[in-house]
Amino acid sequence: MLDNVVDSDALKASSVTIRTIFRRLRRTPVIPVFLLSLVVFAGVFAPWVAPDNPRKGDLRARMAPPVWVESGTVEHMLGTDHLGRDVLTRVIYGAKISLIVAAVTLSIGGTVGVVLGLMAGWYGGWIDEIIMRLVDIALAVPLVLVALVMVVSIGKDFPDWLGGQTGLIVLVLASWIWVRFARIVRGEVLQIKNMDYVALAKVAGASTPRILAFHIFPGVINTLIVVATLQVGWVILVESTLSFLGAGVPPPTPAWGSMVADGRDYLAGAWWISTMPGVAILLTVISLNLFGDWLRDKLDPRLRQLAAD
Amino acid sequence: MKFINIAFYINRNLVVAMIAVLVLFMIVACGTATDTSSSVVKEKPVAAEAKSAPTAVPADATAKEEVQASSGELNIAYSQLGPPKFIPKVQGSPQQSINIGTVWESMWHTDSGGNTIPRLVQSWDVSDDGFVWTLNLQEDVPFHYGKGEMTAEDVIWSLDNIVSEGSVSGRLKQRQTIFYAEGGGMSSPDPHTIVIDTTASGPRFDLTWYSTSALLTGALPIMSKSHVEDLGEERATIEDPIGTGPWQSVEHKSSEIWKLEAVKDHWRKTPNFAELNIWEMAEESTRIANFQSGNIDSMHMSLESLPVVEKIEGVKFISLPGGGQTHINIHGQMYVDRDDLGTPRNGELPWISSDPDTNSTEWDNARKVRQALNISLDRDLIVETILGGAGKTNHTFGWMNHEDKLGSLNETLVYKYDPEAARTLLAEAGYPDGFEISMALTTRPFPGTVQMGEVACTMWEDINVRCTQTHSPMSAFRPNFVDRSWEGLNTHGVGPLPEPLVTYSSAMVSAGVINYGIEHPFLEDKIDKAMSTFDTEERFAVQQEVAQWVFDNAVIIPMYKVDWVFPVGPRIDTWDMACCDARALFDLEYVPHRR
Amino acid sequence: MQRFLLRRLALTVVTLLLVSLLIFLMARISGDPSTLLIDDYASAKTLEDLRISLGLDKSYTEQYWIFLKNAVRGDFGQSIVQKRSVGSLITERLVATFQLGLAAFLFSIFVGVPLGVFSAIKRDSLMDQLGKLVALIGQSAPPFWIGIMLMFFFAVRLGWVPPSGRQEATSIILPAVTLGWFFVAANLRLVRSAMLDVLDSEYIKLARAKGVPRPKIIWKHAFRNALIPPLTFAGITLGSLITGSLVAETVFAWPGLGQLAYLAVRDSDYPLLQGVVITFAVFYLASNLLVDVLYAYVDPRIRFG
Repeated sequence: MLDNVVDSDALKASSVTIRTIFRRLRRTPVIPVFLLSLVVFAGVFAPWVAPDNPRKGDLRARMAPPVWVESGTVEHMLGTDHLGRDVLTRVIYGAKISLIVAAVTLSIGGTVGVVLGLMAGWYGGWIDEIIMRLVDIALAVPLVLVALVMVVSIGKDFPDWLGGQTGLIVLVLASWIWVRFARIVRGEVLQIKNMDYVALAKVAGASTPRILAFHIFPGVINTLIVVATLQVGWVILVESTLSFLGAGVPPPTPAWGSMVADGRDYLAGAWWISTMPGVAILLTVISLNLFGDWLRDKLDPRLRQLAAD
Repeated sequence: MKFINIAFYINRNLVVAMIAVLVLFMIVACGTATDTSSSVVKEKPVAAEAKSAPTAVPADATAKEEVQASSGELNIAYSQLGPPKFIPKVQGSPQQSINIGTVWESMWHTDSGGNTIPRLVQSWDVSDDGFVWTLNLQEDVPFHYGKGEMTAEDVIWSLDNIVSEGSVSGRLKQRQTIFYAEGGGMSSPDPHTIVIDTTASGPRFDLTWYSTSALLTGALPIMSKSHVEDLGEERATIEDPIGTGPWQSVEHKSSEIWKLEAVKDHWRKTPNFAELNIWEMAEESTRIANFQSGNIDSMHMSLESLPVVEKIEGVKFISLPGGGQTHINIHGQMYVDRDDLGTPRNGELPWISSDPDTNSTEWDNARKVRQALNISLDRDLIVETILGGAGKTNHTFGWMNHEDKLGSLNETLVYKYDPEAARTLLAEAGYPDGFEISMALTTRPFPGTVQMGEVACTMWEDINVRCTQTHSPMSAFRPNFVDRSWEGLNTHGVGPLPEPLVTYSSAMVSAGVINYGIEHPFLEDKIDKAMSTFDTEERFAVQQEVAQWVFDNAVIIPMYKVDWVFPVGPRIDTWDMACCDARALFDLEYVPHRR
Repeated sequence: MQRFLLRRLALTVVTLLLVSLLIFLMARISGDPSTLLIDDYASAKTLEDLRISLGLDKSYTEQYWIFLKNAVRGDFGQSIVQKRSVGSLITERLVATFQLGLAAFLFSIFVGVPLGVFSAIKRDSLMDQLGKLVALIGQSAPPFWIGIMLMFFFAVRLGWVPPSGRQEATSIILPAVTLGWFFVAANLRLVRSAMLDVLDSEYIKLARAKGVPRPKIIWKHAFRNALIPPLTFAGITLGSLITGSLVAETVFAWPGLGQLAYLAVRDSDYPLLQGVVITFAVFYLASNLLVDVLYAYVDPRIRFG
């Protein structure tokens, strides 16, 4: 009997460890992170990883099906599009574009949003008023419609040094996304600015920028990371919607959204042209959502409330 | 869209389940799609019943067809139905074509071979000197819903309307010249005769030849004068359309559907179907889905959908050659200096010369660049793949259906595909490393206009010419045609023309409202000359000169001539269809039930 | 409260003005649509006459002023391409879009709420995970892609519903699913957390201790409370549904406002475009205002501040 007790105790101890590990592992988003790193890898190393040329295709090999369908070849694992370009290659390069568009949009929008949010929260008063009104106005505009009109009107004439039509899209998206950052940062600042260590810094004579940079901002970073991660998916979805409506990243650049739009006339016969980039978008955005959620739970559970807006 | 996130613990099971579902989906998708996957290189489509040989339209204008009971519902889908515009002066595309095929009839009609046949004009006489035409109108032709009978008054009213103020008709000037000639004009000695005196306009018109053109037969629906006067133009324009055609309008819902029903005991041909529904379905996939499920009997179809549509049980095809001719415009070649043109030419661009003198070195260099662009395109490959073989290459802009008048030029005016030579030309012109160029992919209702632009850009990469491409709806690009402000290329296409001069005189001269990117004193001179003579031989001689000059100087990039292919669903059968204004299906009253 | 409302209203007006100005400028920069109404063979005089008849020869300021004057009276002018009053075009299509929006909203409720309840009761089970997966897909997949895939599976391959248009009763199903799927996730979550909150509350614990049967607890007490958040959320959804209709209507040829907007952009039809954008903006703002008012009502600080 005693032996059993001792043994079962030992057993329980080790199984608790294993089970804990398992539970921990179940909770960490291993697969999402894996998928995301695939996407990033593809985006960064596209020229070396992709099997073919994304811009040029062989017209004679147009609309070839993926390898697992009858008459598909290994040469074009995901098939070819209506101009004979390899779909797999374009999906890989598409990752690059999606990432760049998302990254630039978030950088611009994020910076503007953070700065304005900091100012609104810290200074209060009429500065706060103005910025919050701007927020309200930005939120009130039906984004997709306005973006559509703008891109169709001036997209092709938008100067190259600003990025051409893609640059315009980035600017339009950024001008909407700063709002998210601004509101959350402002909320955080309002909370932090009354804390003791900030008061101490003020008393010690630190200038406002210094306080903002060294005392306030670090408290806000966690939040920012989470919000940014969750917004990448949104940017990708909106960009692909604009492409579908004809106002996206212009050809022949392989952006996932444009690729889905390109293929929509061929759904009956060459379904893979639209489906593959569509699946890419789906998997990427899902992974971003899951990863972002996990990050939030790790870094700042309070944000669960804020996600409600 | 508001973005709400799901904040709950997710574990790997979820994601694994997710991947599993997706994989399953893909396998199911491709499993059922295997039979519709296309083969690699398209073979020329076997049009089950291609109607390209000229056959007379079965209905003789004077004999009445045996009256049969109309039955069933005929469903047609177009990519664009357009808003309701039921009055001649405001009709543009695509209403013109759709309206003429259904509710209205015009003075003449074209058969499937492209020949003029009588319609509301039953017969005509031309005076010996050729200046006076006497048109005998069909008798006993009622308007819909019991609104009286068609008489000369209505015809004259319709003509008046289309040249009246506010008209957007393109043939305004020509119509005015013919029908409203100074010192001449129209008169009607009795309700079914119209006498047109074209004397004062001087030169003779070959009525038969001109009548085959859109000048007279197309785009002139004969309206009921009393109906419009009773209702007022506003209402008649939009709400209550009536005409003499074999279909009468029941309900028109803008951008959605037009419901029509067969006219009982029509004077010419009572339709075989009792109801006609014309749908607007902008998306190609939507149309195909509807066609596959049998909701639609015929439709606008992209040639690239042929492999899929071919596989539908019981499908047939109607194939009309010469439906459209496409080209890529080269903009910025403004060599006629005028005060009103704000945009001077930009000699910095590789394809533009600062010197309009065709003997100068600058001109030669610019010409070499344009020529390089032309000879580095494998047009045969494009026709074979993008069009699935339903078309021919084109090297002479505007001459579709008039190749016979080109004679020996048919052999000499050909851009031979030679990328090597193109590279040499570019190097000679001073661009050994190529250059950048903007390409606006404007959509036109002809198959492949956007794809040919994309393909051209990929082919040009071989000679180091790099395109910046943008998709542009016509509404956004058209203003560039008008103010000549674009510095690049754009894809375009036009339908069949009565003669190349029509497009030369409207789009390649300073007097034209729009312009395809080229104005030059040589063209101004020659085109003017051609316009002023009415002798067919002479006209075409001058047009040949223009064609030669255009080819030698490569001021435009002609691409191909495309056939119109319409699918015919299993509920209906093929019919003789009027040729060559094929933005819509014609002669729907003759569509038979499939036995 | 009064001050708050007044401020919100003032803001609404300002926003509308800004939006209309933006659209006005954008549309005109790209060039005028009169060029679209002529064909390639028209004469210069025809074009000029057309421009004058459309009022496009006046200066921008003048045009905008005329537009504002009329808009205030509810007159948005005439559609250039369709030659009918913009107002009548919009009213015609309003019903269709409302129908679609309502159907989509109902779909998101009928799917999201049960999934949320299920998720709260049977946490972390396999069924729960699959439910979350469905919700997640709705939020992560591009709506136009969903629409097209649905069309091909259910309309073409299986033939259960018509692929497009608004002619039959079943035509609304696919567009409604396409539009509403996005919001399933939100409803799921809201219901789930609301139910969890309630289930953990003292009140429920007492009921359990008293021996009230479990199903009764769930349905009678928890569920009712859990319904409140999604309904509040409906206000926010309304605005998004209307704008989201742009894509769904284009794919399924559903004759609503969204498709009208797309046509207006494609044809550079200014008056129509302005009218439609203003209509959208009004709905957006109205729904935001409604939500703010509701929250303000609930939150005493704003109510009495």
